[in-house]
Amino acid sequence: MGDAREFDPRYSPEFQRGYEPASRELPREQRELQELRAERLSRPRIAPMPVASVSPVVDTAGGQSNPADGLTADPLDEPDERNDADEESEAPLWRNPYLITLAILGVVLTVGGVTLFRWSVDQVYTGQYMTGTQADARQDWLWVQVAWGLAPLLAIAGALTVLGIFFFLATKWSPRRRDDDASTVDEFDE
Amino acid sequence: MPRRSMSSTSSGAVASARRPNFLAVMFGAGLLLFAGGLGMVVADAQARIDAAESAISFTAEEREYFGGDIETTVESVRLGALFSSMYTGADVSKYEVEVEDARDGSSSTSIYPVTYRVILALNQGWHATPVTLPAFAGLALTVGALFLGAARWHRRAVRRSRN
Repeated sequence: MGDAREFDPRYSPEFQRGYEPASRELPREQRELQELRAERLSRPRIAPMPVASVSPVVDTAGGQSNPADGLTADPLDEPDERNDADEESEAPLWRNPYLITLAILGVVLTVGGVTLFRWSVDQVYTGQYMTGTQADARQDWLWVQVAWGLAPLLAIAGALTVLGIFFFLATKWSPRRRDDDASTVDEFDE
Repeated sequence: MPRRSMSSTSSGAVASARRPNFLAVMFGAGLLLFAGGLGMVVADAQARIDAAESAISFTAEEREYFGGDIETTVESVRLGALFSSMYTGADVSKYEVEVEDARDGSSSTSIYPVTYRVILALNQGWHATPVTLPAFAGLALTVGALFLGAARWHRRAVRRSRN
């Protein structure tokens, strides 16, 4: 039972049957595993900020400057370290350009649709279309019909757009505080 | 390992560059549909005007009977036919003029519509007509594309090292 070679190397021997801490010596492989595990646990999860500076180094002796001389970090590790150093956070919703466009479009469609419909009704019932020449009258008849047919649909689409924006904001809202004091990059999450 | 990931990233970028942007296609299709629908509405209005222009015609005898007020009568009948068609969604009616001579020597006239093929609404008011639906569908597609873009967009705030 006390034979250490029977321990499963994947798990810590302390949690396996037959482990006796005072009376046994761990084999070399398991000792190395324990050391590795302890080292991994003691290492911080987030890598520290790189201390290397990538500014070009000027050779005062007159020779050619070597940019690699100013680097103390391994160049192959640079992308990973940069990703670790960057902190991502979501920006506020009012910076979403699509949402801004939708808000403007919704208001314009609603107000424009109502205004256009009122204009067409005024044209019909006040007889303003009968003024002017025959060609002008025909043009007025044309646009009065177009406004009559489309203006309510434009107003409906605008109202639904504004309503959809409210629903969108409601689904995206969260009580978390946003941190947006850094430089920003726009992108799709594709 | 970094070289392998860069290779896969570049091939993925090439694949995504070849793939058409779904949002752009949807947005463009919506705009095209809206423009086409608007053209259909304008064409329908123009056809209605043309139909109203020929909604009524007078013979020489009828013109003589109406005298100098004939143009006002014609204009009034045409506009009535046009806007009645616009309110109800029906085709523009054709009008007939009937002059009847009574036995006592007096005469009476009547102008009445002779064709009513399709009536979408009996009440005079706005109603959605089929010809306006493509424009509305295009508008809905455009707005839908913008909502999809808003849902897929996220702004990444990156705090970089200051050294």
